[in-house]
Amino acid sequence: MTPLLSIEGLHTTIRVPGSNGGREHGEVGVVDGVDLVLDAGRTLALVGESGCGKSMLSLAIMGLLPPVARIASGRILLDGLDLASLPASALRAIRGRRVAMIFQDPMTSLNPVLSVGAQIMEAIRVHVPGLDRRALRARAIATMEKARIPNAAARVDAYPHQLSGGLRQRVMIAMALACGPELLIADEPTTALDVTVQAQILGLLRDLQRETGMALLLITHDLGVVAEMADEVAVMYAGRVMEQAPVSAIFDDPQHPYTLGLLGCTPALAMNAGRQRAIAGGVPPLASMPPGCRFHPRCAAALPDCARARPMPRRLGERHLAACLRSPLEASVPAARP
Amino acid sequence: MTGRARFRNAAAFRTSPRAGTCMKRYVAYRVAVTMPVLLGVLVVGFLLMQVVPSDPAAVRAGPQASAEVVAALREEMGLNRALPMRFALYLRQLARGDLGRSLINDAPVATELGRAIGPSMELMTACLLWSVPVAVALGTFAAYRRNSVFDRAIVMLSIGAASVPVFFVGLLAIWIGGFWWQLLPFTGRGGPFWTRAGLASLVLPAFTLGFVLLGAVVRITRTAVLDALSSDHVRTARAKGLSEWSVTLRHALRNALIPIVTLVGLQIGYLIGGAVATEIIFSWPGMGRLAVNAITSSDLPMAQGAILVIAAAFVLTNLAVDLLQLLLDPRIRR
Repeated sequence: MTPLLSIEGLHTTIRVPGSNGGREHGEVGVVDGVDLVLDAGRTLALVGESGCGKSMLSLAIMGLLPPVARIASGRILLDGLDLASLPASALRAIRGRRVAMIFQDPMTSLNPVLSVGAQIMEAIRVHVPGLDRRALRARAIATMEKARIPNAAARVDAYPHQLSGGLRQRVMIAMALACGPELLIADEPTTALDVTVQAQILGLLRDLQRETGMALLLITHDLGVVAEMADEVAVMYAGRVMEQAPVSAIFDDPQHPYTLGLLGCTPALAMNAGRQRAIAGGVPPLASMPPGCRFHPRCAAALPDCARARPMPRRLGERHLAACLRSPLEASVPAARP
Repeated sequence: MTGRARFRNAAAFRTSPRAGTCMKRYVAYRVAVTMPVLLGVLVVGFLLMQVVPSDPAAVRAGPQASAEVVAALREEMGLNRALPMRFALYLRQLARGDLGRSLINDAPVATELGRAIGPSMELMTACLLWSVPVAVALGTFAAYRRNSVFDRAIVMLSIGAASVPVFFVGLLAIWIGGFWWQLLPFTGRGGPFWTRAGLASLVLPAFTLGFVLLGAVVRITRTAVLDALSSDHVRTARAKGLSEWSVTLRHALRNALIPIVTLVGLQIGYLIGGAVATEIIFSWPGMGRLAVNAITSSDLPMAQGAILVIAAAFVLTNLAVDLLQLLLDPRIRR
């Protein structure tokens, strides 16, 4: 069985002004050789610190990279179709219909001057031509009901500012689901919401996934969300995937020092292990990535060899990969530098 | 009201199902605050004419009149009374719809103004009708093809248009359209715009006046559309699979209209100034020319009337712009 989404050796770069400040531009890599696989109906969580390339990766799948960024090499296969090499018009036909996306901030992600119904109807009209206004409206209301928006028939004419943050995110979800996508990309869908609303939105996403059988690519930095939602987890750092494994393996048997460090940063998870710890240092700037393993300057378990060659992913279980020279880790490896 | 009650009221206001009443209240409020502004315009217009170093009685009596005749006329015209008294009389006169009589030809000011309003509005409307759509289209296209050759050309054109003074554009228009090609008339108004001659005579003045507006509106449109194009909701629109063109029109331009309308409203003030120059160059029988002629011939009642009408037009335009914003932006509509 071919996976629904398969990313192979994806590199994306962004253009930066040259060092001489003139017209010559340099390019720096953001996503640096990422391989990922997501089966239909499953949930893959993409975890990492801010600036590790998670969002860039998701925008690359959608073909929505900002003008300064581009896909330098690699393939993004959706059911065997390479999205990275499709012309813009063909990509538009897929965007919103087969692959949909919801964003972090529902406050700014909806157009403030159009009613939410109009925005949902627009999403349907792009891909289902020939529906009249009434049919569109009925379908928009049905989609809103599917996203558990109470009183949808009245709210279809509401403007975004008249709705709460949770309702707006539900509208975003309704818009994304309007054409029944096979893959939903959710970029930090709950980060901007209240904690109680977060749980509702996650529950909704899970229910909808069960009803429609869509796959979910969930981008987050919240390991609580990962534990709640994911089937598989990919841990990214500085544009590379450090470790990829089923969710239970990530929490019970992490095989990369960076994953260990992330788990150590999470208050509830660190409670038993004593003090909550931060990973020392910060993500290196894009233009001056360290050689070898990009995590080695911050790694508590680094060996001299870590600075020499990029560690290739090692297979540790059936679906468990870790890109670390020291994996499988012995028990004595510290989670973070003291 | 306690702090807590106030919060509760605010929440009730926000969730009020009777949103329409809020909007009506806003419209009523906005119309009501126009009244004091108009009154202020009256006061300032009146006072301005009092400080002008010109004696209305002397102007009316003519250059050959003796001092006694002028003094008698002053008494008759009520110019010897106290200032507040004269203002009260002026207000009473206004309330009857009487704006006084011209000092030069004794014609009723209201009639003269009424005759000039039509051509002025014609010129202004024609100018807005061509320049705003053209400017918005150019600005949007520049934003859509940002950093392309078209974009640079449009930006250059708009800077040029905004930098050239209106009288120069007028002279150029006369020279090219009137002398060179001999296509269009350039003096006076040929008649109402629905007649052939009237329409032909409107072309060059409307072109000249619109040119003043063009540059500024192109640039605000380009900036506002670019700004909107980089917003989060436009990314959402792209994620739906909309084409870049419909993203630009339906989402970016639609939102950019809010700042564009505000700017056009403000520019109408400048336009009135530009209209004065345009009307003089093309001998257009409008308000601007009337006002300038009245001022240069010390015809104070006429000048005062013209200033009043122009100022009122400006205030009413701003009111119209604010009400138009209500249509464009549901956030102020509630």
